[in-house]
Amino acid sequence: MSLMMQIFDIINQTISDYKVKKVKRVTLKVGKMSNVMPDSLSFCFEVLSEGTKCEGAELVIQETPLTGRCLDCQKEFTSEGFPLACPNCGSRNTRMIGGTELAIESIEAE
Amino acid sequence: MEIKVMKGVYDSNEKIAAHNRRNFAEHRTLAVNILGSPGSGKTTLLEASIGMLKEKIRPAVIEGDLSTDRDASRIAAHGVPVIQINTNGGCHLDAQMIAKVLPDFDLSQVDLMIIENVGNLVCPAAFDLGEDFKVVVLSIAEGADKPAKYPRTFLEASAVVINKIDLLPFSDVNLEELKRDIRNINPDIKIFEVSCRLRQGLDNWAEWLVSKVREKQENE
Repeated sequence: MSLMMQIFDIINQTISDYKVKKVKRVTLKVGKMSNVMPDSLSFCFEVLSEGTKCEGAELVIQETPLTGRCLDCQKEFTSEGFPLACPNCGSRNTRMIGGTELAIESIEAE
Repeated sequence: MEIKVMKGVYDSNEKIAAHNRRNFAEHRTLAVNILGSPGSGKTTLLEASIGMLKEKIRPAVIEGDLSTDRDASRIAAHGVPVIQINTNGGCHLDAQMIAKVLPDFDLSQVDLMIIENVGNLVCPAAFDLGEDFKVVVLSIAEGADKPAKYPRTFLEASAVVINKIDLLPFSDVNLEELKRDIRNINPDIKIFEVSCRLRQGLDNWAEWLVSKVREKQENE
């Protein structure tokens, strides 16, 4: 819930720069490893949007995969989980480069 | 109209964390953020190692808790500067809470700032406080599946302290498998095995912290 309050802070800041009557859609990017549950985000969005310009807006959650880079062959790849093994050369000498993000991508408004 | 926002939800926290980080760097104070489930033994670990730390460096502690000051009183009994932050139900510390209490310390007299986060394996992992690194305290009593269930926490940490190893004979946890699961997520993580109750393994942990303090003092 406190995360959604921060999301609303960013939404309100953003729409105050434009002449927005109503927000129709908010798109979030949520990493597979972000520890955030999409269902609870949707629920909190519904509750907090009541009586605001976001009421009735659609919340789109784009899940981004766990992504790694191989330090041996330099290839980037996605993985379902840990350990991060490079599918190209099989190396375990890898680093995670994506999958923990939680960001507001865009707002569709009128 | 389509408004491109591209703003991370944690961006404002990270700005304040960077400010805290500069503050620690100016005073060459090493800051460590301690995470772990309720009951994993975070405060007990601090109590058990603070005597050893005090012989070599000047530690101070920030205690995060939902609503009591019990942990701070326990630490204060060991004669180190300590400040309690009550999150009033909030499940994690954030950078702003740390920024607010830092002026209450004389950082020029602090070599090591230990920040004990609220007992929780989820949210604290996502909130940078401006620390140099995170440490997870994980106890044998919690079972072996914590790394698989909360990978983010183990990804973000530089070290894991496996506590309550004296309970191994009474539990189904296989220590080698647990360590392998942790290293599968984070191959570079440092692992300590301790029993605070029996005072085992604590010197390795304390010596490592002291070496990290010295490293920072030489590099800043």
